[in-house]
Amino acid sequence: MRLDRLQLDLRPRSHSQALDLGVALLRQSYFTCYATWLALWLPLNLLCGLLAWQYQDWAFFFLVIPWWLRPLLERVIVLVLSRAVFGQQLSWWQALRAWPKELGGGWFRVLTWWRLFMPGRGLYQPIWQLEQARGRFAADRRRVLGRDGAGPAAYWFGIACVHFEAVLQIGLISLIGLFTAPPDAMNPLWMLFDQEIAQSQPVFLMSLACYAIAVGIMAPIYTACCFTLYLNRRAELEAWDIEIILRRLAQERQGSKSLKLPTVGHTLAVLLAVMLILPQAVQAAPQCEPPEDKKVEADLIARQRTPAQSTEQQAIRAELDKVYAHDDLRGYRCVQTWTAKNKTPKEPEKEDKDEEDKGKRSEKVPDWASDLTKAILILGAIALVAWLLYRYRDRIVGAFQQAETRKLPGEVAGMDIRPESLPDDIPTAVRKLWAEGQQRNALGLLYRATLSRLVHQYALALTQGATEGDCVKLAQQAHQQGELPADTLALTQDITRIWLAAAYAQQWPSDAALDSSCSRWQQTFGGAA
Amino acid sequence: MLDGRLALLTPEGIRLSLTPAGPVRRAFAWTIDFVLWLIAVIVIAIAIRFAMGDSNLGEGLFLVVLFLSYWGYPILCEVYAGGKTLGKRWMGLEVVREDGLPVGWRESSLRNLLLVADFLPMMYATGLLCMLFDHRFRRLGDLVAGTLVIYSPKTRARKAAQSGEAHPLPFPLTPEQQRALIDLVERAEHLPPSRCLELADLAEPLTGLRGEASLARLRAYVAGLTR
Repeated sequence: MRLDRLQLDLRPRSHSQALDLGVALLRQSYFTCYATWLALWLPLNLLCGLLAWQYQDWAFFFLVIPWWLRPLLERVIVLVLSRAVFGQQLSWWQALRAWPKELGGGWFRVLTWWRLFMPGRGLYQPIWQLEQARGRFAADRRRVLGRDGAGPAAYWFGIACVHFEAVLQIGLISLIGLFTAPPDAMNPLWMLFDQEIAQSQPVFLMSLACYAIAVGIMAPIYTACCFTLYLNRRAELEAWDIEIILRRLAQERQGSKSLKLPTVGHTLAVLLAVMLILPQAVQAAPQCEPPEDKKVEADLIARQRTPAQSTEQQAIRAELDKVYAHDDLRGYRCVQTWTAKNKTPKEPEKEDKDEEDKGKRSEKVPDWASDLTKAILILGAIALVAWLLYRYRDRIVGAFQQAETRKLPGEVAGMDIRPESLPDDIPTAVRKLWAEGQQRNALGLLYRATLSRLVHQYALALTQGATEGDCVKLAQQAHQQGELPADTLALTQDITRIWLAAAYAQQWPSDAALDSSCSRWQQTFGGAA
Repeated sequence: MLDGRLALLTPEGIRLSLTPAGPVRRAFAWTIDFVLWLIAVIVIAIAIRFAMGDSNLGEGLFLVVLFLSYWGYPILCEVYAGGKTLGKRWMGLEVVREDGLPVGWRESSLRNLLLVADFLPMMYATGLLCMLFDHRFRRLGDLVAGTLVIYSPKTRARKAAQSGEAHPLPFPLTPEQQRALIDLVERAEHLPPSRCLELADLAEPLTGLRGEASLARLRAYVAGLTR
């Protein structure tokens, strides 16, 4: 037994956590487990079903056989898992070939009184099968393993699993019942309640098939969970976790470099695998047509482009296109959703209410009391809805408002353009600042006021992130659409030019130029806000 | 390495581990809850019958109580009692959100309303299958609400510090290795003596001794570590 190859993280855990671990272990080698188990279980059931069909007088006897032999069949799962837990994967065929050798030991006990009264048998099967213990020694081992609550834990786990099998079986039968029921049947299990149908041969065999499927699903889970309980118990009793750490410590002290090389190789292999898988994963994302407006935009960009001047430029453009085509930048997302098929409205069926038993009521409580309670309950429900609406009124109102009005930006290109932040008489204020020698502030105020008027007077759709160039471009577009007069556009362009030259190149306009700009501003936008 | 735990990393860099609970434990918790609810409902039915006799009001009131208790009991318990109904408390389970936070009204009502979907076609067969195939044992309601049922974290009681003369470690050990040494000494009384000596022999690179002497030296190390 090479404990360092153990695939389980050993630490002291409760019995129910150890049992849950079995599902994870089974998931790791589910194919082999289920393939080997079903290869034994399904043919056995098929055979017994056929025999029961043939010899109807003995039907019950044949149906008990699969249930009765199940503990022996389960040993094949323990075989597969006991190899898998140490990192050795058997093929299902190998496991099937090895199965007959695993049957020795404990089979008499397992097939007689334990079959009826010992649902926790899964905990003890590995004692015969893996430890090869027999007789008195096996009994001692069972006693030791079952101590400290492990035995009862396995017992209750087994009882729960038996119920789960019943749940799955009844679930399957009622699923079939739902689809085969006569239109007026209310009970999905109608087949079992109808005396005549329940005893007919097909229904009988169908419930056998459902049993076979339910146990087919549950038995590997039961076995795997009991097996991890067994492992956990042994690890606890024999301090496997401590042994692993001590062995690793000893290895480290010997300073073996051979330990590290495989890890590097392993990491490389994983990296390679990831790199190989990644492109496919990216391609697997859903592909879809771009929406109409994005198509128009792409068209526009393509038409505006002058032919490439060199191959280098062409290459750069190709690269740019590739970058912009990425999911994050292309401006739309591909999402798979459900959409409704054509719906056919269904006429609601009328319910007939029998009013007969109303008269039979005793008069201990008058009828009006029930009507009053009904009214109170209905009013309470209305009040609850009203309160919920009131409680979340901000969110509900907010949701409508945002859809209707566009918020005007308070700031463009880092400048505050709210009307209330500006003085009333712009030209006078600008001239005053200019005369005081605060040239930058004067020009800044003029430009700010211009943008503010464009937004608030002409409803130009400036956004917070727009640059000066963007603002001019938008103004031009508005002019082309007839929303902005020509002289306003000209003034905007002039002031932007003056502002840019001053702000970025420290080239100040002459006093006369500023003065004329101010008077033009006065004519165009009017002095007061 | 298979370990039933989920590791979550908080923004502060603290590692939390949650252990999702499997279907069997949850089924027992459900059974306890259901039996308790049944008893409560029967008691209420008898009380109403006794107080009001066979009347419309009594019948209506009983139906209202039935509805409110069936849907309200798990939700109220989960929101106000730390994610635990009485059955879950008994079985040591609790409901949390997938990020380990306590459940709120939204998650709790979603996961409990979807019990109806889990019940289909009969006796929670869908929920059971879903739990068995999901790697965190979530049923449909848990998947939709983004919740998990986990084992309530328990702090393991450490035993008192080892008495006896302390001995310094010959070279530094990682926290994991130190913990293993403490574990070994604490669990030694439950281990078979031969197994104890075997482990003490394995610790030879650390102690430089074998057998009983090695075990005594390990005890001395642990006395130093737990002091």
